[in-house]
Amino acid sequence: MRLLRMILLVAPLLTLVIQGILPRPSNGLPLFARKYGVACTTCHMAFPRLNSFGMAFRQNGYRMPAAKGTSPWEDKEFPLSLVASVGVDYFSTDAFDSAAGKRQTTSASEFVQNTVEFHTAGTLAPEITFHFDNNFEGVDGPLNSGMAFVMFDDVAKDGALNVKLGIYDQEIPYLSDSRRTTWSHYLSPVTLGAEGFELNGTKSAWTYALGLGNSSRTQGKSTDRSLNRLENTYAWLMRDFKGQLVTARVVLDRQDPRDTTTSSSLHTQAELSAYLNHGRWVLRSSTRPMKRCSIPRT
Amino acid sequence: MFLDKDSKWLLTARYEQRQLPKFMSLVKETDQSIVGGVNWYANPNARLGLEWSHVSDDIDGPKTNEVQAYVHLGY
Repeated sequence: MRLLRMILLVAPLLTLVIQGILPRPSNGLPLFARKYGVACTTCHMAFPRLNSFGMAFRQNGYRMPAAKGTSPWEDKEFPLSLVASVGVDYFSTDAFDSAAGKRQTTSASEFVQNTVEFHTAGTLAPEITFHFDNNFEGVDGPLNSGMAFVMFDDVAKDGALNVKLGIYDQEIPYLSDSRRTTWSHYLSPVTLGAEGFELNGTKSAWTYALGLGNSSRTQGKSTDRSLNRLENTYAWLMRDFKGQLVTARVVLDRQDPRDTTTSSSLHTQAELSAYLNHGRWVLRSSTRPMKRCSIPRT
Repeated sequence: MFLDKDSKWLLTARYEQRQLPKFMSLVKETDQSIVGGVNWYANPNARLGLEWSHVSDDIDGPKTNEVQAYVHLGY
């Protein structure tokens, strides 16, 4: 298993390093670019960040405009992509040391394998999209499952309604933790894990999503016999103002209760964000107040 | 933002402030994060990055500074 992981990691990395060093046309690298024979920058403003075409491509079920979708068995190669990151990390922490009775600074450095991800995604058949991914975190980290979903496209004409089922990232297209251009994660959870189903679509300058999923509760009242219910909901609505995007999102997340008299705590998150871009710069701004209340359940 | 016409050099800066009410933390707390980084794209799916980040709060918690040089590849 360890040898297989090393081969899976080292061989593509070596290939990529060689490709990065040798002069070559800068197109056709990842999964979709290879499939459609287009430059990576068709969808990415800066890898891995999506541009407006990339967001529309993703919303359209990984299909080009007006395309219906094909099965992987019709394509010349299996749709597989690898994403990996390794680095050298130096960090210092200034914290209160109770033994010394004062704040002290400690520092360390290490070589880190930040992540290795394997993605397979695309269309299974006309108007059916899929995406599965798995990742290793750290050298000795376990293989974690990521997204695993199927989406039925064009349930209503021209993508006005699609139905997504499975495990997926619940996120606003331009505000995604997995597609950030920094190594450091966002302090606030901009991408939320979802298990359930989602209705989404786009019409004119509007794009929306409405979802219902399992909560991650592990506790409830002592009389509760079922915890993992379809009880989390979310909705977001995005408006495109000539390339400038504004989105409102509401998330209702049921979590473990603070006491045993209630079944769950309801966390309500309301968010307003904007994506402003012009030429070579992009600005993203977001604000999200949060509210909590306890929900008694009979 | 890109620093050049060829989109090889990317500068990213981010500031976040998170206010945690009492129900999410033992006391009311405000955390902040500052991140600054520069990336050089060898090609559109291979980049080298150098990044600094700072995380702190207003309740005398740990203050962390981190610098990372990294390679990020997609194939």
